[in-house]
Amino acid sequence: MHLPDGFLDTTTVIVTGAGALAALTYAVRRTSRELGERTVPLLGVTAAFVFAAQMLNFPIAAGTSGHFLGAAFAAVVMGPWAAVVVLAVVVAVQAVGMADGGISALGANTLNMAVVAVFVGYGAHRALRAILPPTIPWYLAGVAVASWLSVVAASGAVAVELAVSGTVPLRFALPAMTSVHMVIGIGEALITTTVLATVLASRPDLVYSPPRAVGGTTRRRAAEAPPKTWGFLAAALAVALALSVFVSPFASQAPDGLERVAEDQGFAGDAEEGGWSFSPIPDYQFPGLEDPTLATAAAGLVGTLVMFAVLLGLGQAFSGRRKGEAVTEGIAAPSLHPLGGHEHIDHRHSGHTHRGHSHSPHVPEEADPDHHHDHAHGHGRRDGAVDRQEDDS
Amino acid sequence: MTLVGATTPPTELWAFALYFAILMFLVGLSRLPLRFLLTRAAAVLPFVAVVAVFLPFFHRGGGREFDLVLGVTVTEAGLVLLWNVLVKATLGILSMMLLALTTSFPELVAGLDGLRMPRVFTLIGSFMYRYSFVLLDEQRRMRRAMEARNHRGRWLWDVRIVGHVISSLFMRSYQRGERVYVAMLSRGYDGTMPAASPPGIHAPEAVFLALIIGSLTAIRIGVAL
Amino acid sequence: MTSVKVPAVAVEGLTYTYPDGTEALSQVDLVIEEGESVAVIGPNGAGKSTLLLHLNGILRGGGGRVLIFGVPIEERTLRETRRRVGVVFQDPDDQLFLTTVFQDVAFGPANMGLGETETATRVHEALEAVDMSAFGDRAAHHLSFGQKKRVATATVLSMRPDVLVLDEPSSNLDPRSRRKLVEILRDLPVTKVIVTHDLVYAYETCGRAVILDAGRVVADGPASDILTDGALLELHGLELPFRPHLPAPTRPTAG
Repeated sequence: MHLPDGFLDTTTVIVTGAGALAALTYAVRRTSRELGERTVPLLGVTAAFVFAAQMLNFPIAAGTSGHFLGAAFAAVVMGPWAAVVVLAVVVAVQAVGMADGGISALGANTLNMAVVAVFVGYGAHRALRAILPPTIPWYLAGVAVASWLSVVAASGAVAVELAVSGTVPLRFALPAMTSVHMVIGIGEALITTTVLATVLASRPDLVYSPPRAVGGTTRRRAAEAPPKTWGFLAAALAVALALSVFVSPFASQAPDGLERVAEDQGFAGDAEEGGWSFSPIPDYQFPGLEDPTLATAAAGLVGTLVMFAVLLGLGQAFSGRRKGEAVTEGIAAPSLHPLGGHEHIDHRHSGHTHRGHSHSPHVPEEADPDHHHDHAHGHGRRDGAVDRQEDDS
Repeated sequence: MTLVGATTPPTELWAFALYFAILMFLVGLSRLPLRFLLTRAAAVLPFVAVVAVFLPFFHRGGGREFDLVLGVTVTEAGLVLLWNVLVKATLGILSMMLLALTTSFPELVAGLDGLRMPRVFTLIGSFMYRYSFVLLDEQRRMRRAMEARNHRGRWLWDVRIVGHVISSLFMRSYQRGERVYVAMLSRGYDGTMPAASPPGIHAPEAVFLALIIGSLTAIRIGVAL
Repeated sequence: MTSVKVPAVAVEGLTYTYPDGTEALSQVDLVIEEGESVAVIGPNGAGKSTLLLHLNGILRGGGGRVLIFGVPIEERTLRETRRRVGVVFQDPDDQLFLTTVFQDVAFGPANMGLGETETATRVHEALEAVDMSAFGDRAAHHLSFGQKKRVATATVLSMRPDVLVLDEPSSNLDPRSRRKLVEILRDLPVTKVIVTHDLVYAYETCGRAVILDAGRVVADGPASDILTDGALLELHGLELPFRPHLPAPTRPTAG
């Protein structure tokens, strides 16, 4: 999805460049404020991780391959602004160090992969998290959809940029890019979900936006909510289907200037051929459907259905694995790794939301200065704990 | 060079010829074997080329038509577009590769610092660079362990395995991030990185740089006239 | 009346529980005089690392307190604490995070606000002490493990700490590198606290040994006594270091 040099015209380069710069500056400032001193080591290491993870290619239909993007994953785990910075650094290094993505296209690539993907992914995730039942399987399903959407949206943005530059008309670019990436998105969704599930199982405290159920109150068992389940499932499915169906027709209903000219000049007859997808291997059209628009829509539809089936399966698999035990019990005892997340002492962590975390209600100053039996609330995580130590003199 | 190249209209062939000449000059200066550069670039270019080849088919409007086989037609504008994309992409890729291959990472970072890129950004970049190697090592070790247990090759298809490898990598990364943070604290880190003095630009280098930039700009302006 | 010398490190009633409820330290008392070399040993999970992290204020907020040369560790004394107490962690890759060796070793002094020349002096001094002077411009990932360990030590030495705390300094080192490290550390005149599993190493470098088990100090005395007491060691999940000429463990021999 990385645009090389030469595909975008000058105006687009400038506009996307400015946009990316603005977004990045804000994101850096925001993240520094929230993470404080931990910004550099944490984000640096996560960037290395995203970079390494993006090297993993998985083959999809007939010769093309997709790779993991990680925008939605980073957003869910570190918050959207940190994710923007991480992805932006990765994109920049890829462009400068590996020529994967042109320099003039850096603005656009950053916008697509570090801003659009992150925010579409995060936005969808939060929306779904709010409306879906709070249990973990549903959370994961939401994450899957969100990460899928992030990839598709980013590809859509690429198409828009190409169209605006006059390189490829929108009616071809959009369905082509999005249909390919709907398939790639499945891989992204699968990987993101699997990884997140594992992280949740062992270190839920790392996750910026965890499932609501991890709040520690009674965990609703999945079996408890069958009637509601199907309603929500249907709603989510409808949303995704609508997206996939309406994206393609939208493109063709709005021919850009060049096409107008083409049609007027009588080149319209070539449109059939032009229904080829943007990628070398046009396997994303359904055989037997003449109209390229419908074909793309059908492909998207089937892809979505397949994805949902997979998701449901995944959801069941993961909830079954944990057999109802509270996720927080999975935290490794610190003796194995004494530095696992427990030295959050020394930072201004004010911005870190602990939505739904069971072990972090902030206990106001304890009357008892002599706390040998400090438990979950005694952690030195907040500044309040440090103050208490001074009482001991 | 990339930026100037990208903004030049495709029809001015002579401009591109000059760009390439300058590029070759730089390559010669860098004592980088041309073949080496080309082979590295060859790894990336095919993707661009393949994608670019299809562009003319989509481009409508303007110029003569050429009939190719099977009634597929292509317009002159489309061909121009193809040329446009290819040449700019190539220019960009070659320039970047030249940069990447001749500059060590610390120098790159220092250069970016000198260009006033926000410190946080370059810092994260250098951390990323540093720990990519560590991660790659860890990943290699995991692969070896997996292979030792007879799980070869086809692992990419098994999403659960991929998921586990990736999540394991992530956890290790995160935990390493925390340990690095602790190490930084232990050496007095308080959120502000000590200012490193940017490498001064010596006179001859400055002149050289000015010459290159100057000539590039001159060409570009010449095109606009 | 002779003035009582302020101990380098004084741990008083230190107690700490992790956020998930694991109690790691329970009423730990420990006094280390200036110039001593103390080995902290014990089974896994004993709380050694937790104790270590308290010595330079990374962990705070539990019960009890830690005093460095008489100054209690708290938020406002952190900077000074970390200047006086240098901690070398187990994994050198955690401590070498900048682009070149020089930069990593310079990180500490630079954070202390020393000028460029002073910093450079200290870097050379530190690299010299660990015998890595020629490696200033190398990138960390080009070094062998033993070399990384030495550079990691240098990154702390450049701050000229008064107390040097080391976490498993000899782990994963081949005998030659280990030997080198022993020599380097032996020559340093600072107070040393060494957390280690390597009891031979402890015997070689430290005059005093402290056994930590389940968050408590269970033994504290001369290394030559503790490290030769087979029964005591076994009781706390440790074993006699392999020394053929040591007396056999105090176990009743069969028949």
